[in-house]
Amino acid sequence: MGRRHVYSSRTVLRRILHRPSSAIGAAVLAVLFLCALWPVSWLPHDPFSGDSAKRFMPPFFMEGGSLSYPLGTESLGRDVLSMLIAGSRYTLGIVVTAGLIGLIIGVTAGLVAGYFGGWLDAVIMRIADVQLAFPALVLIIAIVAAFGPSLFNLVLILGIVGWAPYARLVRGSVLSLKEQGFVEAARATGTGTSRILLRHLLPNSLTNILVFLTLQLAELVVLEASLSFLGLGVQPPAPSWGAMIADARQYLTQAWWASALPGVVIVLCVLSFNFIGDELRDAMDPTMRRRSARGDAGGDGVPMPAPTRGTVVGGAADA
Amino acid sequence: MPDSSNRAPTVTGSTEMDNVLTVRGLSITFESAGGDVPAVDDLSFTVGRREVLAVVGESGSGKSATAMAILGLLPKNARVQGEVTVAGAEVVGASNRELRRLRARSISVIFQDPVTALTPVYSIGFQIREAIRLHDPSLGRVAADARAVELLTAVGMPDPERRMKFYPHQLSGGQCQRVMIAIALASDPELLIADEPTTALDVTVQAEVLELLRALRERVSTSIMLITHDMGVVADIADRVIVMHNGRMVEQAPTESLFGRPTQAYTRELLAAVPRIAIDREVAPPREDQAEEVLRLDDVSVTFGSALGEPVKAVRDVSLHVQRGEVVGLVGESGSGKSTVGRCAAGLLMPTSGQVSVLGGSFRGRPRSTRDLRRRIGVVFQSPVGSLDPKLTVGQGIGEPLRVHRGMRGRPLAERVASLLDSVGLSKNWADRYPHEMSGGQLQRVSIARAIALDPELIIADEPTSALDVSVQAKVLATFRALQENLGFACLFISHNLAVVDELCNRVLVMRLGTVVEEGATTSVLRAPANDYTRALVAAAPVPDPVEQRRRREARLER
Amino acid sequence: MIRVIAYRLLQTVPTLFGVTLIVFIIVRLTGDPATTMLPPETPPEAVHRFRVQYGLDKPIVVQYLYFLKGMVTGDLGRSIRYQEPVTALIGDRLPATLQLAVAAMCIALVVGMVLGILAGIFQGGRIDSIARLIALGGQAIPTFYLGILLILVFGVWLRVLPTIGNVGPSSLILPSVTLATYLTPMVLRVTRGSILDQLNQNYVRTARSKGMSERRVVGVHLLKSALIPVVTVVGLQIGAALGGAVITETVFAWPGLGQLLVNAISTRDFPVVQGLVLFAAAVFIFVNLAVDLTYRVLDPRIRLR
Repeated sequence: MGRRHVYSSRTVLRRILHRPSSAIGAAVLAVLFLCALWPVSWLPHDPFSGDSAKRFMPPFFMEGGSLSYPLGTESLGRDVLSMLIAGSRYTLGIVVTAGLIGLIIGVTAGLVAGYFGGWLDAVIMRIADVQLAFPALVLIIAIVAAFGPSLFNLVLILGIVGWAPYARLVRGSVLSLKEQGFVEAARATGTGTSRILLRHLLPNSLTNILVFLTLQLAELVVLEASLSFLGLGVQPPAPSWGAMIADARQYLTQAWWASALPGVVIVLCVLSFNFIGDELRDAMDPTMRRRSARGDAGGDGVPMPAPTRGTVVGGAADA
Repeated sequence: MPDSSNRAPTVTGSTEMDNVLTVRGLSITFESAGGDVPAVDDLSFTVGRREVLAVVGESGSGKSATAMAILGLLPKNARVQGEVTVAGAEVVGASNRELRRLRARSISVIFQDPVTALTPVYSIGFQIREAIRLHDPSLGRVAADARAVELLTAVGMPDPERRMKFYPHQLSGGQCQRVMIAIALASDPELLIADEPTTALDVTVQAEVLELLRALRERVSTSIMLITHDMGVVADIADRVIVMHNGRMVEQAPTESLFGRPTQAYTRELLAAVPRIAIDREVAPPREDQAEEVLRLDDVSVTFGSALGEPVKAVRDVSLHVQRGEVVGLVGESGSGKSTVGRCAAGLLMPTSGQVSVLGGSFRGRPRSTRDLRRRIGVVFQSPVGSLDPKLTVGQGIGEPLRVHRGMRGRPLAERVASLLDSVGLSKNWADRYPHEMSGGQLQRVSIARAIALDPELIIADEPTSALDVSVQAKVLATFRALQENLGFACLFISHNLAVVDELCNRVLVMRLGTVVEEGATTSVLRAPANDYTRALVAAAPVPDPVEQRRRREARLER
Repeated sequence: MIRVIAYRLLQTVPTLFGVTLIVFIIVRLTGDPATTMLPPETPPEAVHRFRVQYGLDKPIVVQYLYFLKGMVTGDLGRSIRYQEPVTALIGDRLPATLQLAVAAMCIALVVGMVLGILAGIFQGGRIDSIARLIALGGQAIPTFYLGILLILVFGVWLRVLPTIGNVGPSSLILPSVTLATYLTPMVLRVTRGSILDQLNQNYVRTARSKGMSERRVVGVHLLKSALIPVVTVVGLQIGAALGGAVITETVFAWPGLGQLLVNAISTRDFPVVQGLVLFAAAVFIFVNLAVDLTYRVLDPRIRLR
């Protein structure tokens, strides 16, 4: 009789695993997270230092390659596969931490700005707007250059710079929710501010936030790789994917795989986040479940999903 | 293309040539992910020359789908069967080219929301000229302009040459609708379909537009198919009426017979549900005694500033009071400031000047006392969907005030919620459902249940039934009235619908452009208004009685 | 309307002011430039001379005022490495970056808008799928990686295009394509979204009901409204182009401002870094102002009351 929640985490998970794109994405990410947690001592070779006699060995599927260095070696003789696995810890660690930092700051700012409005809103949004429109890369480069490229700085900066889109998003969400009236209704009956924020506004914005988080993580991966490429990210000898590409750049003619392969991993990682984010967005889209809000009088009658005016004339666009 | 001259006569005995529109056995089904939705089922009717046919129905009746089918503008997921013949040409199954020709030459349509129906980035002159040229491509720019001005004059647009350069957002709703009518007439159509042409407009503007349509009918030989849910509009200008319900035609009759002697049960129900200002109704007069005031506004003004433009004075020096147990109506058109006053009364908005005192206290006090105050008032809004948090079940939504203010939990809470649902006519099983599973009427009942949860002494209701179908509205209002009589709360009832206010309120205030122009007992204000504006308002509100409408029209003409 | 323009112009002043303050603070926060820039074994008198030369001995507020004065008069200091005025360095390299940015923007706008419009009109069709793939790909492949792959394919394996520096007009091809790939997805997405939004609007229905061809409905009525939001995106993308240029120039050794920045960072040439960041900020603020004003002029709803 009574259906439980509109969508539970279980149904969402099922949907994600159902679509091929997001299923693969989930699989890839699972593998990568596993790699991130993989202890260094279990790796086939040391990712930090290598045997210079073994430099530039090609991957196993090419002539001269061997299975003991399945993806070949780079300029210092380090095993590419081990480096890739070790690199995942840096990338994912940085990206997830920075993503969460940005999310917490941004969501709080957005909630406050949207709910309280007034000058607070104006100030917060002004700062966000200025920051958002300023090319992120230039900003981050400048700041990282100024403060030095330590891991801690990197995470902090990526996190802090990432708050603005969340704030914008959440504020927009709050504003449209406020207009819907139930917030006013709650306020009119004297519900406290914090309760309104936490119990009403946040859950309704949560879906958007989660979707955005996955997409933001995708962007952060690219950002981190770019910074490492420029030498401003993870410092050698730590094996970040971006730094691997930078290192191997000068040896493009001799060992193209040392540049190409880390890039493939980056792209796979980004695509995975994107696919999952897309699927999350579709799964949580309430318009899939839109029903007619008119037509039936009181009583127990289950309303027929009669086409509303919108559906009649603009139906095709609902898809 | 079918050759119309070989057609057999229709059932009614006249040939197609007499009829501008013939619909036979029309069925429309929408295919969607959740299954097929039937919108129209085996519909047949005709529209004759110079006739005004009204198609009446509530939402979900299929009337709009029918209109779109006639134009060939249904979305791709619609399956259409049957025959639709306009000016001799068959629409169902016609090619895009044929359909376009029909739209440019024989059929025109005006829609519900005129401002958004016009392209915002082009001037209205451009859009009218475009319609003229589509009808007659040989006209040059100068000739087309002249004709456009001619059309604008015909639809009563003041200062037409200058307005040609205006953009839609610079015109009012009524003016935009005139432009739409001008565009519709540009193609000299044989059939004009008007889909809820006045629903989005204020009552006084609505009267003007209807007047315009009538006048046009006399002057131009266009037939009109009018789609509406408003029986008053039907009574005003229709010659014949078709009543639709759930995709089927329920009854068809000339206007006066339909209103005077409806044969079908649904028609009778529909007519009975329409609120009207009745001379003979028993509404309790306002209380004479000096009962305690539960709400008082003294010289309240609300000014909305805007960043760059001039500030807007939404409410100016409004004073009103509501006594215990009274139902006071606040009426006005859009922009009158009535909703703003309501929000001040509910403590959702602080007035720029003046005082609001509720139950003896004010909203400007300390948080603790303000909370206590809020506990004793209930609020019901217009949009039923928006009043409830879509993430919470109905039970949780209703229970929230109880939880917050009385700390109720568990069993006692569930029981109270169940009894509240019961008092608004809903089964207690609805407590576990979500808002999106319910219809508008049910949702509004839930909103009412939530509003009365704490036994409030005052309820502020802002257009609580305006978004609902007529029959649903009648039922919800009946529930509301019963509750008010039982529980005895005072109420500030805000609406633009005079008839609804007439049914419910002891006293009424009429607002216009931010001020109160008239106030007094409902019986005197609405039935014998003293103020000119109120008189115009009452006169403009269409009455679902064709005889009465005709009488009013003739009275206006005499003036 | 003039009022609006003036208001907007005025608004940029505090923003610029704020930016200079932030840049100044950050650069100074990283530590005393004298110690970071000079080799550790420099004798104290040399350090002191350095300080005086760069005005580092004065109180911080005075330093900031000098800084501001420099902003206004166009004096951004001298590069420590090249011993030339920063403005001269920027002036030298600006044309190269402009070439790159303009070329990339053109490609991105053309490809993004055309594909976006088609993808929106034929939603769900093959073009739509292709467009979405391109948008996804452009986003997922980091700019520097794409650059390297292109170098690999066209420079190393096929040997048809130059890959380093600016040796001739064909040198522009690979870098601009790389940068364009970075810019296109956003343009495409916004255009497509805007078209889809407009398709839902009421006036489209009215246009169809007048009996005009679908081509006219889309081409005349819908397009004009749909392209207005795209203008704002152009502004954003110019900002993105600045950032992307840094990477692209590094990969292709393109002699522009981006390369200058990266070099300056690695040699800790703080006047150059400072100057470039300020320059980028100023450019970006004014570009956005221009875009904002253009938007207001284009949209009659805003232009006329």
